[in-house]
Order: sequence, then C-alpha cells, then structure tokens
Amino acid sequence: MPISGLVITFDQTFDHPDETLSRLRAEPAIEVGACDRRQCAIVVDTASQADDKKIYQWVQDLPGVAGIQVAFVGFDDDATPNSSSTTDSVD
Amino acid sequence: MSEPAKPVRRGRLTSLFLFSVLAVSVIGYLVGLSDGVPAPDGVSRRSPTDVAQTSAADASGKVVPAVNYAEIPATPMGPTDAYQAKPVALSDQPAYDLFKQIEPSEADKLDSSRIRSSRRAYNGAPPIIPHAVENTSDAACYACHGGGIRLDGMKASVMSHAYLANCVQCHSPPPPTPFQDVPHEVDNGFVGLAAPQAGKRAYPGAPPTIPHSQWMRESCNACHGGPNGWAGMESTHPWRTNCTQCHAPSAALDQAIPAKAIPMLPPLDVAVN
Amino acid sequence: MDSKRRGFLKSAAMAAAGSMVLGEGEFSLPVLGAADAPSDGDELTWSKAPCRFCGTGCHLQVGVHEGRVVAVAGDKAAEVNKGLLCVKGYHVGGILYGADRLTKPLLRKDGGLVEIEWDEAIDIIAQRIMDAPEKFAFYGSGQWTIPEGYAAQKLMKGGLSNNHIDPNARLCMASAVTGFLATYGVDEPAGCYDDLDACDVLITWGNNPAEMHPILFSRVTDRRSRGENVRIIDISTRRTRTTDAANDYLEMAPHGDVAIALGIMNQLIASGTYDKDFVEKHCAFRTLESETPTLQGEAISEDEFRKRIAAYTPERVEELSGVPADQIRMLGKLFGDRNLRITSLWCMGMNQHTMGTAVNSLVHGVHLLSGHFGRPGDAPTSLTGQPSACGTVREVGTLAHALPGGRVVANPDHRAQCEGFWNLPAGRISSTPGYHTVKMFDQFTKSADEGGDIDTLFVQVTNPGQTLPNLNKLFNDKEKLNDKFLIVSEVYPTATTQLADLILPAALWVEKNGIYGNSERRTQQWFKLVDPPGEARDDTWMTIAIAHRLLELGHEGMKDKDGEFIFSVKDEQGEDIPIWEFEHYYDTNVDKHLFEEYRQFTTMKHKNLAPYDEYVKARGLRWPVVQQDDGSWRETRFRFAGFDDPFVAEGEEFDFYHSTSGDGRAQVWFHDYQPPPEVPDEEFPMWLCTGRVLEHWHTGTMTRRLPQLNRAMPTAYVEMNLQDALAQNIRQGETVVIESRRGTTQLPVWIDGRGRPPRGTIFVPFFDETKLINNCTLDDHDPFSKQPDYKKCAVRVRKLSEASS
Repeated sequence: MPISGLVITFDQTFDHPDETLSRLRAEPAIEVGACDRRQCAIVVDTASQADDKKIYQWVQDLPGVAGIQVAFVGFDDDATPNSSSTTDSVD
Repeated sequence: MSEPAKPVRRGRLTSLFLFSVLAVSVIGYLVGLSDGVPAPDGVSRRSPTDVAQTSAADASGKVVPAVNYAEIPATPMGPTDAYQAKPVALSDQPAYDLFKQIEPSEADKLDSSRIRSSRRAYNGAPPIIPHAVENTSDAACYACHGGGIRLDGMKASVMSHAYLANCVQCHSPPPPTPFQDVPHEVDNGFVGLAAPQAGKRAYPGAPPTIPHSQWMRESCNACHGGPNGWAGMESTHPWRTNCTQCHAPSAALDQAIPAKAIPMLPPLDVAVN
Repeated sequence: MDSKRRGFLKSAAMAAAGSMVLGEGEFSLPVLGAADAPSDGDELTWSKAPCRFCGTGCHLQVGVHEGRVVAVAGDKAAEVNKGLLCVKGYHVGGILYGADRLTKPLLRKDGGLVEIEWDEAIDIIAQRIMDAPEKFAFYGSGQWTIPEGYAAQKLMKGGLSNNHIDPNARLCMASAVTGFLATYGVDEPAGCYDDLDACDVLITWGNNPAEMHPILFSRVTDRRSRGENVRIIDISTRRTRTTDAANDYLEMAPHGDVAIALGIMNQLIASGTYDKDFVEKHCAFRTLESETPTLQGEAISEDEFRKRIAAYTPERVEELSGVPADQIRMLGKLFGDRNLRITSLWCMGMNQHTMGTAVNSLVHGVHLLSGHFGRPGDAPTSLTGQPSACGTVREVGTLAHALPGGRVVANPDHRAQCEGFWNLPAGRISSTPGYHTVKMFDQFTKSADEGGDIDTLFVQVTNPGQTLPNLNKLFNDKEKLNDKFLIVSEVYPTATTQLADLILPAALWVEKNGIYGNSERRTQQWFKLVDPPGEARDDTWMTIAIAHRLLELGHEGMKDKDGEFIFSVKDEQGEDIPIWEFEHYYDTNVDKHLFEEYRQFTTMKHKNLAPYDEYVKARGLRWPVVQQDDGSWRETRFRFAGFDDPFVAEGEEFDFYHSTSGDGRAQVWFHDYQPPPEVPDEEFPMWLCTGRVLEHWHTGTMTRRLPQLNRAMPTAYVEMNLQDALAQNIRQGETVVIESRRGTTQLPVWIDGRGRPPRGTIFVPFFDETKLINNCTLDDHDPFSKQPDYKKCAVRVRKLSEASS
C-alpha cells in the first residue's frame, strides 16, 4: 500500500498547465497540494507498487510535465506500534 | 378460645409498632446524616480509620496510628517525628548551565510540539490552562509562570509575553470544581493552523527565519532557551541574546507594515542592441 | 494499515512534497494533527474584521487558508484592543464550524421539520405578509450589521408602512438611549475608550467589566502594571472579578444605585464643591412634574433642585442603598475634586432596571454637576453588550418608534425627510409607533380572539426564546397557537428555532460582508472572507428577496415614487442588478450601496459618517467623521468639547448642540428614589440577579459550540452565599429548583463561586439553553425605554426533594 509524495516540475514553455492540473485532479489516486506556475506537489495513494509505478509513468507522460522528484515514499503495510499516538489530533 | 389470644396479638402488634417506629427513626437518622452539612471541596471522604490503616504502612511519620481505647495509656501521643523535624527546604532548582552543549532532538521536539498543540485551538491561540486552578489572581499565575519552575517532575512554562493583567481573560481555565464532571465536549469542525515545524533556511547552516509571529512571543527564551524552555526547541546558543540579529521575523505575521505588495523600484530600462 | 496511519502518511507525504514546491528544501516534521492545515502562518491570507461578540468592538486579523478560517490574531493596528483579545475573540473562528450548522431551509409540516428550497421559503414569507401586511412583525438585534438593519428598516417602515420592527437591544440598552436623550437631547456617549487611558478613578456601577468587557478593563489594569495609579471603585450587588481588582467595594442593595447617585449630588451641593462655572454656563435642571410624564420632563430652577436633593443625605442614602454614609461622603469628596479625572462605566446593571432612564440620567447628572465631563478621563461612559447595538439599533433606528439618523415616526418632518431620502410618495411612513419587544411578543403569543394582532413574526440574528423575560408569558404560549407563524433566520438550532415554523439558514460573521458600530461610536467594516456552509445565505439578501417577491405579487409599497424597486441597484449601464437572486447577490457590494444610501440620514444629528471606502482602509472611525479641507476624513473622540468636536463653534469650551432646552445646555435631572417592583418577602425570600460569564456570550449559541470555552464553563449555575446554603442544607454542586411567581428552572449550586453574592442574593447566568432562568425573571419595565429588569426579582430556592413534594 505505497504512498508517495511527488513534486512535478512543469515545462515553462508549455501554455496549458491548468489542463494538466485538472487531469491530475480528476485522477482518484492523486491528491493535489501546493502549486505554482513552476511546480506542483501531489500525493499518490495506490494499492500496490505496480499501480504506483503506473501512476508515476502516467504523470510523466502528461503534457507539460518536465520532470518528477520524489519527496517522500511510504511502503509499510503495518502500522508501527506507536503510530496511533503519532496522529493524535489537536483538540 | 379467642379471649386469651387477644393480649398476645396486642403484644405482637405493639412490638411490630415499636419496631417500625425504631426503623423509621434509624432510617430518618441515616438519611439525615447523609443529607448533612455541606461537604467542603477537596476534603477526603475516606473514614479516619481508613486513613490510619493506610498511613500505618506509611513511613513518613506524619500520622499517629489510631489505637483501641484500652491501648491509649500505653501509646506515646506527643508530637510526631515529622512535626518535630525542621521544615524541609524545597529541592533546589536544577542549576542552569548557559553553556551546556545542546543537541536538539527531533523526538523531543515532536513530543513538545504535541503537548503544546494539545492546549491550543490553533498556532497563536492563547493556551488553555491544563491544570486545576483555584486561585485565578494574577499573582497566583505569575508565581509559577513568571519565570517558570520545575518541581516533582512537572514544569511550569514561562510566559512568552510581557506582564498583562487578568490572565484568565485569555487563558481559559478548566471547569469549576463543582462542575468538573459535567460533559463539555462539543462537536466542532474548526481546524486550526498547525504549529510551524521550522523556519526557512537560505542554505544548510544559515540561521532559520522566525516561522511564527513575534507578537505575544516577545520573549524567545520562554520556549527556546533558559532552564524552563521546551525540550527539542532549545537554542544551541542561548548566550546570544539579540535573536533577531540573525533570525529574521515576518513583517506580515507581526502586522508590522501593512503592504499588499513588496514596494520596489521599476526594473532598469536597459537598451538592447 | 488503519486509516489514521494512512492519513498521517499522506499528510507527511504532502508536507514533504509541498515544502519543496514552496522552496523549503528540508523536511523536518509532519504537520501535527491537522492534515489539511498549512504549517506556516505566512501561507495564510490575513484580513481585518471586528469580533463577532460583544460591544467592545475589538479588531481581529483573521487567517484564512483554502476557504476556511484557521487562525485569529489581535489586530495591532486597532486602537480599541491594541493587538490583544479575550478568550472569546481568540476562539471566534470556531463559531463557523459547529457540527450542527443549519444549511437548508426547514419548514414545519405536521409537527416535523422538512427541508425545502429557498424559493419556496421566500414564497411562503411573502405570501403571509401579502395576506396581512399589518399583522407582520420583524424582530432583530444589535447583532444585525448596519446594512442588515437598514434593509429591514426600509422594508418595514418605507415599504410595508408597518412600524412593528424592534430589536433585542430593547432588552439590553434602551435605557441608556433614553438616559442620553433626556440628558443631552441626542444619543450615545460623549467620551470614548481613550478616557480609560487617562482616568485617575474608575467607577463601575453594577458592572463587571473584568468578565464582560475584559479588553476595556485590562486596558485600565494594565496601566497599573506599568506603574500608574488608578483607583477602581466597584459599586455592585455582589462581589465579582472586578471587585478583586478594585480598591473599594461598595455593596449596594438592588436599586441602590439611584440613591447613591442622588447622595453624591447631595454632597456636591451641600459642600459647595460642585462645578459652579460649568453648571452656570452649560447646565439646566429638570424633573418629572406632569401627570403624564414625558422623556423631556419639566424644567426646574437650581433652587428647586437644591431643595429636592437636600432630602438625600448620606444617612438617608445608607438606608435606601445599604452603602455606609461615610462611603457616600467619600464619593462626594472624590467628585468634588476637580483635579481628579473620573470615568464611570456601566452596562446592564443600570439599563435592565425599572428606573433605567432615571438612573442613567442621574449618573450623567453627577458628572455634569461636578464638571467631570469632556476632559479626557472625565466621562460618564455607557457600554453595550452587542457588537452593533450602537451602529444598527441606535443609529439606524431599528426600533418601533424610530427612523434612521435619530428620527422618530411621530415627527411629521422626520417622516417627510425619510420619504425624501427613500424617494417614496408622501405619507408612506406610518406615524404610529409599532410594538416594542415585550408588547410585540405579547401580541404574537396571544390568540387572535384575545386581540393578539401579530400573526407572522420574522426573527433575525437573535434568540428571543431564551432572552425574553418571563418566557412562559411571552414566548412559550406560541406552541399552542397554530395560526401564528414564526420565521427564524439562524446559524444553529436554538431555543427559538424549537418553536419556529420556518427556519432559514444564515451566513455568519466573515461568511458575509458587514459593518458594525461599537460602544464608542466607532463604525467598523469587514469583507466576506469564506463561503457559508450549504445553502446558508446573508440576512440582507433574505430581506431583499422577500421585498422583491412582494413586488412580484403586486405590493405597491415595494416601489418608490418613480415605480422603481425600493432596493434597486443599477450597474454602469443603468440596468438593474438582480441582487434578489442569490447567485447575483455578490455581483456588486450590496453593503456599500446600502451604506452610502444610509449615510445621508446621519448628518441631522451630527453623527456624520464617512464614505464606505474610508472604513475599508481604517480599523473603524468614530463619528462624527468630517471631511477636512485637504480631503481627508477626521474622526471625533470627544463630543461637545470645543477642543475636539468639529460642531462646537470656534472658541466655545462646550456646546450641547442638541439640547432639549434649545440653549446648548445639558440637563441635570432629579428623580425620586422608587423601590423595585418586586422585593423578596416571606414566600419568595431571595433576590435573583441574572447576567453573563467571561467565556460565554449572549445565549451561548456560538460560544457553547467552542470546545475551549465550553470546557471552561460547561453549565449555567446558581451562585449562592455559603450561609444561605447552610441554612437550607444545600451542598456544593447539588441541583436545586429556582422558583418565582412566574416560573421555575433547575440549576446546580456553586457556593461562593466566581462571584460571591451576599446573603439573600443569588446570581444565575442566562447563557445555558437547557436551564432557562428567564422562566423566572420579571417583565416589569422602565416606563420610557420599555426595557425589562432582569437584575432583580424575588425567588426562592428549594431542594429537588422539597420541590417535587
């Protein structure tokens, strides 16, 4: 059940990054975060590593995407013992 | 035959009546007791013999064990050892070494952050009072929070702002003692600004910027240094006292200069051949 | 992998990726708690807005991220609060996000509520008004923004020729208004909060600002921390947090304030220490002589005044008020010292009073007679409890007898002026005052057979089901009357929506544009910052949509003289912008249009307002705001004083230019002491006083949904003296029954709680909708202001076991 945080760098000569962005938003496995004209943060949440790779490739092939950097990858299947306390919410 | 039976029955009726009178009075007495004088707050409801039993094992010597009336003459009843002892001075506050090597730990910082955020609706909100409080006068608050204190494994954090009157005007206390068991949880979807993780550094080794407002947090040492700061957030160089000399604050967060855009001169008009 | 862990990983992944986009090269720690909250205040959009709660009018900086309020900071540029807030203000952002926000119009059908569309809701209201326009009443509050109140006012008085519009401010500061009118001929304080920075003595008259106006009180106590000397004198019926900070505590019997004010004037006259020069030049004397008393009363000579005031010797005042004669002499001496600067503060204690007009006038009189007036620090200052009690109620005049800008419906010139500003045919505005609050609800909860001639009532931005006095008489009867129709615009379910036939979900605070006017004449503007939830909509829009539907139904009153819709807003091409359709409501700034129209009304009483855009730039401006030769706009801090007020002629020291005696003089009133309408007796032996606590505001519908505040005060309670509790065998925390001749309620006991009442007095805060103390309070009211007395009535306290037997 991999979760990865990726940073997409846009091709600065590409005219329609908005279209690319809306395609990213439409993909259910992808959550789009902070963006500017140059870069965009996304989180990919998939069921298997194969799916994760597929999504990676799909993003890579989107028009206007110049490159992808990996910021974060989580592979683990089981929660570590203290994980629930790590996510205690503030009240 | 029926004649002699009568007195017997009357006798029974009388005893039944007497019994019920007795029962009513005993119950009445007990009800009266339970419905008695207002119990002051904070006083133990345990019976004195309970206290004596548990205290017998207590080596403090502060409590004289209760004894039978028969044993009283033989029992020494004078002042206890604890009473006679000299008043014990509170343990000294741990000596603070300004130049101690500080190695900030991410785990400590996470713990500290979690405690801090559990007491605030959002980053920048005045923390609620996380402990019981009877006396809400300013003097009572300043006694511990003016300079901070460590005692018996607990820490009173240091006020990060200048002295302001009427502390409970901003820091909300726990429920009043008589209502501490009244449910008070409410369902609210407010999601507050989270605490900043770290300031921005221009390059590795550069002094980070201040990622929060300085307003109401004028005293950097309250959290980032001194003997009572927050673990994991301490400055590695607390002897340097002019913090903003190296760490840049945010004019926007400090509401310092109201400007929609950064004022700049227009770019130079360079002719291209 | 559990969903919590997943959520955590995703937020960590987002933080890591996001930080790279935002140029922060290193990832340190995951965002704590809130996965969707930003990690740095710099990423927020910060905007100004006044606080939603009390009449102090603090300014906030509101931090918004992705369409949600996530943080609040005190606005350092604001003169009112100078960057500080109280515990309510710091947590105000959370009021938007209570889990049970109303998001859909609800109609009661066969006893249950069903969701309906807005269109149907507006239809129902318009049809009910159309069927019987004279039986419709509009009830609002000092929480209306100025444009909301102005729109309601125009719909009722200008459109429907119906004066049945009143606000809950009637229950809050109506006596302050009549006090100002009787004394100065014009409403609202002459001084401002700057007085608090300059006074040597602060007198709190039945007032607990340490809890109710904490920002103003700490403005004074913080001066002490800086080494200044301020003497605080607390005159009260019970010890409070204000008493804790006071140098002197004078414990008075209920209604004792009237006697104390008279006693001070007696001392000023007896010792000859009153300000002869000020009185000779700027004051006249007045009292009530006529069989049918009026607010203006009758003039009396200074000799006559001296004769009457002579009866109120310190000893007599001690008898009436319970305050020792020596303390009355002490107050007399203080006021006799012209070198001191003395500020008086009061709020509900003097307003919710059957002698409210009288005691307000008397305290003004104490300041006038002693000359403690018009210098910074010398001021009689009346505070308000609601954010726009001054702005919307007193200035826009959303009262049954009033018109905008200090006008009244009874005055033909005033009506003609309003018809002129509104471009209405002559005679459109009715000359008969409508029903004031108590009367309005009395008529609404009485059946038509018994003469109850209000059958449709529209309530906006307030909660009468909890705040009206004597609820059993004035509100609860509605339940049995099927022909009566209650419409409530609300943000949360309340005691009022319980009986509502139609509930409209409203936008709240920064979910809409707004303008408030605070206690020191300061007008404050804010912009909409986030969207309201679901189908919640602006109150101004509701009023305009109803008006437009009435127009479509053919109501002639919805047209002006030229046949135009009364709320018409044109675009640059001269075409109507359809602001009655919600999707077009924000095509223009409706607030600005209404405010600019309303501004014209404000000059008659010299309460001049600046153009809307000036308020956008400022953290509020105190009227009169007058344009200078260089085109800038200047606010006024001290009215009637030559050194600051632009309407006082050059060279004059003072001019009360709306004087009721027409000669520039203020009126020093004499009123005889009268006992309270109900006093404890054998059957009901205790005084009941009601009020507020620091953590909760008004009926608690907002503050009780904030975890931090509700934790601090989870329930209402009855504050009792230890000796009274002992005498009745009542224990700490025990639930008891409070009974009056009018109703009962159950409350837990707090012996010597936050406040410490003397023997024979209990105190109950009214914020808790599950423990309605207004079942017990009295609906007796002041003869001029019609404001009821919530501060004193006779009750008894019984143990649950006794009460049930």
